[in-house]
Amino acid sequence: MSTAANMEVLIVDDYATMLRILSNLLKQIGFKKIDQAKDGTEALAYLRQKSYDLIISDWNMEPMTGIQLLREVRADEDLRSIPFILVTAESKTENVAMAKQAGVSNYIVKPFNAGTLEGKIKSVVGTL
Amino acid sequence: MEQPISAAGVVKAANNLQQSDAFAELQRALNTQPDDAPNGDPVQFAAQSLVDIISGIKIQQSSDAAFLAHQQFITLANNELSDIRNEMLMAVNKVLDGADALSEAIEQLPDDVKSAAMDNVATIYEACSFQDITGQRIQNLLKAVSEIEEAMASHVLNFTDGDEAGAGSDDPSDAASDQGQASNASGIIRDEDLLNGPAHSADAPNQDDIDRLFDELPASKA
Repeated sequence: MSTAANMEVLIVDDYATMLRILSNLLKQIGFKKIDQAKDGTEALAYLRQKSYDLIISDWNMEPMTGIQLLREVRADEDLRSIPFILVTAESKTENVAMAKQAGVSNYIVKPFNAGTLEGKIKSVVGTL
Repeated sequence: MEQPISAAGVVKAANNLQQSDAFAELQRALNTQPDDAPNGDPVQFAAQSLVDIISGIKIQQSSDAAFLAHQQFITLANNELSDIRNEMLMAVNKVLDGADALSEAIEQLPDDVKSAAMDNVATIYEACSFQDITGQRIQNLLKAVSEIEEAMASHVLNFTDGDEAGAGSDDPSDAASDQGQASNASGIIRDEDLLNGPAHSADAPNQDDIDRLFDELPASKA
C-alpha cells in the first residue's frame, strides 16, 4: 500500500521559494521522495526518466505553463494516470473550468495551508 | 530646473516649424520689399515672425521636458518595485532558513511536544507563501509600468513622424484599447489571457468556492 513516505512526488514551480515552501510542507505531511522542477519543460524531463505517484504544479510559469504540462501529461499514454494537482493563484471560473476540462485531479488556491494541501492530496491518492 | 531638450524634441520642433504659419510668415518677411511689409517695416515684420517661432520652440521644449519627467518617474517606479521584490525575497529566504533550522531542532524533541512545534513551523512556511503572491502582483505592476513606458515612447515617435501620426491616434490608451480588442476579437480564451496573477482578495473566490465549482464542472472526456 502506498504511504506518503514511499510515494514519489514531483513538484513544479518557477519560484524557488515556493518550491522550498511546498517541499517543506510535504515533508511535514510525511513525504520523503520529492523532486523539484522549475517549469513544465523540466517537469516533463523528470517524468520521462522516472515513475511518479503524484504531480503538484503551479499554473503560471514560463516557458511551459502548468496547464500545458497537464495537457502533455494527459496526452501521454505512460503518464496520463498520474494524479495531478494544480496549486495556483488563478482562481477565476474560466481557469478552474479549463483545468478540469484538461483533466486536473484537484485544484488548490493560493494562499493555502498545510491542512488544505494534505486534504487535497488524500482526495486524489487515497489515505496516506 | 530647466530640462535639456532631447534629440527627439529637436526633430519634433523642426518638423513643427517647417509646417507652422510662423515659418511661412518668416519666409515671406525675408522676401518682402519695404513697401509690401504690413507695417511698412520688413525688419520688424521678420523679427516678429522670429519671436513667434521661438515661442513655438519653447512650447515644444516644455512638452519635451514633461515627457522626460514622466520617463524619469517611470524608471524610478520600475527600480523601486524591483528592489521591493528582491528585498522581500531575501527576507523570506532568511525566515525559511530559520524555519528549516527549527525543524531540525524539533526532530530531537520528545514526541509529545514535537507535533505542536511542527505545526507552528508549518504556519511559518504557509505564511511565507505570501511572497509568491505579492511577487506576482509586483510582476504585474512592472509589466504595466513597462507598457506605459512603451506607449509614451510610441506617442513621441508618432508625433515626430509627422504625416504618419495622422494615420493613428496619438492617445496611448487608444492603442492599448485596440490591442485588447484584437486579443479578444476571436472570442477564444487563450492560456496567456488567463495568466493575470492573483485576483484581488475582495472579489477572489476562496478554496470552498473553488471546491464547489470544481465539483459542479464536467470532467475531462479524456
